[in-house]
Amino acid sequence: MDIKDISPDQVLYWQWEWLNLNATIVFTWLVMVLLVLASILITRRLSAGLRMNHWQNFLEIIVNQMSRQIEEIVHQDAAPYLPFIGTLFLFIVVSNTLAVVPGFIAPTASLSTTAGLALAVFIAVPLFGIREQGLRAYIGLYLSPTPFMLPFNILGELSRTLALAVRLFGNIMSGTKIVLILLSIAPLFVPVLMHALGLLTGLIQAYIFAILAAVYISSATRARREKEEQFKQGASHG
Amino acid sequence: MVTIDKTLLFQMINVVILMFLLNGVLYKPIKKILKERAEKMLGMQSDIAKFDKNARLRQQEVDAKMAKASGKAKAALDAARAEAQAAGDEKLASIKAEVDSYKEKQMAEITAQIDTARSGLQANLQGFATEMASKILGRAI
Repeated sequence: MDIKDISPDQVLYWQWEWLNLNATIVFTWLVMVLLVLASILITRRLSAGLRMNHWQNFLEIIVNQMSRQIEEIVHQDAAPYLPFIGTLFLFIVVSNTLAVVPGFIAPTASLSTTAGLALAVFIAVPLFGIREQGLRAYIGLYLSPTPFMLPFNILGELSRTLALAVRLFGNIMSGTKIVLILLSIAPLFVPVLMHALGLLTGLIQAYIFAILAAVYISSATRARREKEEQFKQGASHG
Repeated sequence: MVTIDKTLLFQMINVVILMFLLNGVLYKPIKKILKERAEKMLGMQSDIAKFDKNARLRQQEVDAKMAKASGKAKAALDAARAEAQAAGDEKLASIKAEVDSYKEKQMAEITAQIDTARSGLQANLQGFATEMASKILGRAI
């Protein structure tokens, strides 16, 4: 990837009519293959006993911690949300972490990727909301507290999706660009420091993206629970 | 220039595919193994509680047996001690009686010897006196 290429989308490996195989897609597939292969290799010999290998222990910690974080946010069982939010987190973490490997282009440095992830969240939020509380109740959320709030609620949905996409893209792309620029002017220690900083930023951004997705899902699914809690409180007082 | 094209659509599809793949090869197996371990731990905890209860019962049994054995041992010790005391007293009494009879016998013998010696001395008393007087006077009496 060259300094003048601002997005990995511009790095084309193969082109056939309308189909472009660019760096974003290729490195996304690479990350996908890595994640799936690593998962298969580790989970093919799982042990339910107290003795286990380090990798199984590592995966158990990761999955357990993700489940706990999701449960803390959505205040219910994390199982329905873990595959979606966990995949977002793992994909972004691995993409951002591998950015320190020379030659690897983080797919998250592409606005197409981050917008794709944000759109996935944008679509998943109403799906989870409708599944949890029904279509009528979910649409009712957009009309609360008054129907006049409908355009603002829709704007809010769109703007937060845009913010999700641009935040991740801006952070990762800028980190990659800074390292590339520093490599050209001071190619010894400074890029190493920037890489380390980029690694930290990448981890934080992955966490932020996943947490925000969980918060949006929680806000779409909470109305029913709040009503149930109010009903329970009313019944206990009555 | 930053553009968004059909790559966005590919990336959305990729994420959905990755979600299904990871759900099959990562989340489900790990959740399953965590559940199995939790159940195993629960089973182990009930086993531990059972073993603990059994151990407490065994300890109580051992304590009761120990108390019983201790009582028996104490009674046996007391009986042996009393028996030994009685045997000792009896032996002491017989030795004392033997010593008394021996002492009386010896006293009687000594008394007899004294009497014999005294009567012997008294029989020779006249002769001794005459012999002493003749030695003092220097002439035969």
